[in-house]
Amino acid sequence: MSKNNQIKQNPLVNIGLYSALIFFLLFTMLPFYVVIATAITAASETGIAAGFIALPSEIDLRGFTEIFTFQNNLLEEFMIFENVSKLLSGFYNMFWQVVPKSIISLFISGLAGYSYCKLKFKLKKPMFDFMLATMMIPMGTMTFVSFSFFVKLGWYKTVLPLIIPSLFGGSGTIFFLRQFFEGVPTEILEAARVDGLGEIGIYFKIAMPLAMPAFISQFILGFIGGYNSYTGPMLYLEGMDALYPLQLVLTKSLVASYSTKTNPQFQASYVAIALLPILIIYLFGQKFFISGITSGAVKG
Amino acid sequence: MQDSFVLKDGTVIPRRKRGFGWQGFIFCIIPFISFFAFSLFPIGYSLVVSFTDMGLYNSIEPWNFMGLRNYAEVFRDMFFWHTIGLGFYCTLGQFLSLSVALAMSTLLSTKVKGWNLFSALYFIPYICSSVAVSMIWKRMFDTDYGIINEMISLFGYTGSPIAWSGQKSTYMLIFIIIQAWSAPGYGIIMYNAAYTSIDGTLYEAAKIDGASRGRQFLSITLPQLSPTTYFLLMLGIISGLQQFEMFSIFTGEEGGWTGITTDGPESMGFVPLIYINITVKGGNTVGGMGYAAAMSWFLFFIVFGVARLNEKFSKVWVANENE
Repeated sequence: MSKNNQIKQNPLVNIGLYSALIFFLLFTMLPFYVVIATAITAASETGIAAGFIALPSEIDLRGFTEIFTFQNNLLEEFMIFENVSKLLSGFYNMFWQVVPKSIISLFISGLAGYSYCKLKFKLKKPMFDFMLATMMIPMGTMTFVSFSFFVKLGWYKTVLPLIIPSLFGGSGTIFFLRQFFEGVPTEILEAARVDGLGEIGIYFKIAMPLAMPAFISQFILGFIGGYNSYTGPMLYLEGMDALYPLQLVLTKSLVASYSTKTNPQFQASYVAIALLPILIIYLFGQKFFISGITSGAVKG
Repeated sequence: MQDSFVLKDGTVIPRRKRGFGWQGFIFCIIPFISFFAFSLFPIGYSLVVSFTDMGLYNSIEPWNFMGLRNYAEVFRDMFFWHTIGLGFYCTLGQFLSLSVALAMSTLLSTKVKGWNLFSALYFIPYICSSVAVSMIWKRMFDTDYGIINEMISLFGYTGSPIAWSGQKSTYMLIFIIIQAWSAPGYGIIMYNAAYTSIDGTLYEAAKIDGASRGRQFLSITLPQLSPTTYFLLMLGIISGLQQFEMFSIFTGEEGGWTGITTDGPESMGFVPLIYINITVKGGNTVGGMGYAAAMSWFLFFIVFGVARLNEKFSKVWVANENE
């Protein structure tokens, strides 16, 4: 920390430093500005003026009211609720498809991570090594061929392939939680064992509360992953409008063949509303984010 | 470890044999089984399929085994190699974002006022969904109404507006820029963590030896950061070769392209997974699932091979703490 003290004292260097940081910050924030600027520009104004409208002549918020009332007019019989906008049904679907799954998976991952760290059993070493090795498999390359496997299983056009495979814990989460359990002193667990608490009791009553920050950060990361997931729902829920989670609703609603409202204002408002929850979660859970990401990856 | 204790008077107390540890085993076997059933089994299935003439993803016709013919055909398929080439082209964006992350975290490592806030804000693009990101950037690169062309003309460009997504030469550039926007935040966070773990006394020693600032960066900072660089590089290559969502959404078609264009500007956005997706869905005149599975396996080994190569090569430049 002391290494760059001289730099700080030189005002010229300081100015250069800040301008570089701010320049990149502006680049980072530019797309968000574009979304907001487009969302508050009346659709009638966008097409007329040549070029990008940095500031609209007047602020128009009709885009936001439109997306909350916009319904899919083509396939109304698939709607779960009458008169619910596609946007809200997307949020609803995303929520029930992602949250319960993440919580259950987290419990199971935590239990496995705890066992790998604190319990002794045979085959522990080979199982753990195998798990680490599987993390190196480029699973993304197999997305589309696995798809045909789940179709064969009869899981096409259901949410099963989106939920079941990730319900029973994931290698990355197990690995991360195991590392966190390393920091839980074994003496506490031994004491509980002597007092007659079973392993599950120890896990729920002692180990888990101590590892809560790790669980929260993994939950947030899992939730964000589910919130943003697109390829899976796009493949498996093809044509099942009532089950579309948010990202799919977002994509489909902006495609001309599906909706009649493709003006930039409508699109930008839609994107802005879809981004907002994640930004709010990030705002409040920032600490968990960073710890979840940096300690998840080991050096070397 | 002894099997039993022998007391002074000669009594033998047998040590209680440690059991199998069923509880731990069961807790760990659940995710294990799930991984076998839902990840490894489909992969094995795809391997079998790659040797057959299975039709589309939902085909119920019986398959015929045809040996390695799919692999041979994929190998001869020039368009497949074109998509692989584009996959590597696409990883340029990951290299770019790695360099940006290194530069930004180096600036942040001076711990200027607000460095925390800066890195928190830089991270935001990383958590945005690729759907939203693609849509925003599509608007920004719009030929007539995009902010990019607007800014270029502000800097004195007077030619006709650039059709970014309308010509082959600039099509992939869009995605490289998008990656350089969305990925650095992650790298910055990782590098920040690596910077704080560098031992400050190394710099003190270098200063006493009269090493210049540049020299210190090359001889201390870069080697100390090399494990992080290695990790990010690995991740970048792997994710760069497996890009799909961004490209699929950018075209605005449902579920990506429905057919193959070999000459339009979109042909420069045909990353491998897009091609595989189209083949699975039947938009490709050649082959079906068998063909797609063979392509997947080619891609699998290419990604795997590149990762292994990186690992081998890393021995040269990654500082190993155990040595």
